[in-house]
Amino acid sequence: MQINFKDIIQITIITVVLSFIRYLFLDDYPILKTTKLAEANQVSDENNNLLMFIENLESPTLVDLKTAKLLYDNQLVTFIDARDSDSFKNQHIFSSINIPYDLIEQIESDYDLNYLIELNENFIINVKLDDYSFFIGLDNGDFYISKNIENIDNKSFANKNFIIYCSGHGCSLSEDLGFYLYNLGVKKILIYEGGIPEWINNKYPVSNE
Amino acid sequence: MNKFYKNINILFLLRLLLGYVFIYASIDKILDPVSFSNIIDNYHVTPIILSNLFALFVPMLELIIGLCLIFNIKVNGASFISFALLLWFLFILIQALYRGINVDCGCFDLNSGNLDDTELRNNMIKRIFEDIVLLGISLYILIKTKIK
Repeated sequence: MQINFKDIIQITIITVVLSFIRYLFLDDYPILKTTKLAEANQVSDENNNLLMFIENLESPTLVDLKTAKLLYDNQLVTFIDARDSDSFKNQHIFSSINIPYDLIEQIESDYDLNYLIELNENFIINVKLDDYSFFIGLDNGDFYISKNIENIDNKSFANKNFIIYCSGHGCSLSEDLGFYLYNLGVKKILIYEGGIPEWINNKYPVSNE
Repeated sequence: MNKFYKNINILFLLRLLLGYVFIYASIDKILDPVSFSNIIDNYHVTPIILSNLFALFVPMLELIIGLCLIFNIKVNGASFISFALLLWFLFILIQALYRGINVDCGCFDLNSGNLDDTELRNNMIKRIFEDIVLLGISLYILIKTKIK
């Protein structure tokens, strides 16, 4: 077997030149990519610390298993599953709400979300997906998402802070949904990257209802 | 006519096949580097900061070695690069499968739509087998081509 290194170098140089030319045709494409997701600081399990943590959130933020579990145990957040409804029915984090990212555009147009938000008045809508439904409410600029309308009426704290997950590290649905909701105007968004596989591995509560 | 058939040997056909696969795989990614860059992120192998650079360079490399293989230009170098690339793809696919990351492969098309986790996983196993076959083909071409 012979290897012609001259060929390899020549091919590489041509590729670099052509890649650069391609780059010149692209708008808004940074050569070095920076992630838009913020990393969470360590939080302890004192309730005040957790409340401060949520109050200080400014943009979608990554959290690890430990923080996710703390927030879960203290019932300070609503878990949102961004996967499709079949995966959700198969297994999901206990008491989480399913908002499939693939259906989000359909939901937006069916319920005219953008128009409702533009009106800047309080509203509650009942989103129905096949055999599944949940409520979205807007109250003085705060978004609420819940399965029970009472939680929105009572302005439950846990129903305006969201932690979004999907099927673990290879999955970008949670991040996509997070930024989608963030752009709608939802303020407190956390992304739990470990997702359902890590949650199950640690034998934390799941449900398949 | 006889001469024509003599020229169509197995090496020529394999070069054509491998070249076609690389060009076919590269077009979508060259047209949409942003989506490809996001897919690279999902593999969690390389630092995110480099994803955009890879998303620009790798598809272009695929296109060029594809063209080289088809048009019989610098075939030795091109087949070596294709061997190295495929070995790298194989590594990242297997590590993703092993770590239980269900990635949208991003090998040929960038939007595999609304596949669920098991479908994604099956797709990945399929891609790994394809990768091994292509790896064999590029090794064969590399051995058979002499430096002029």
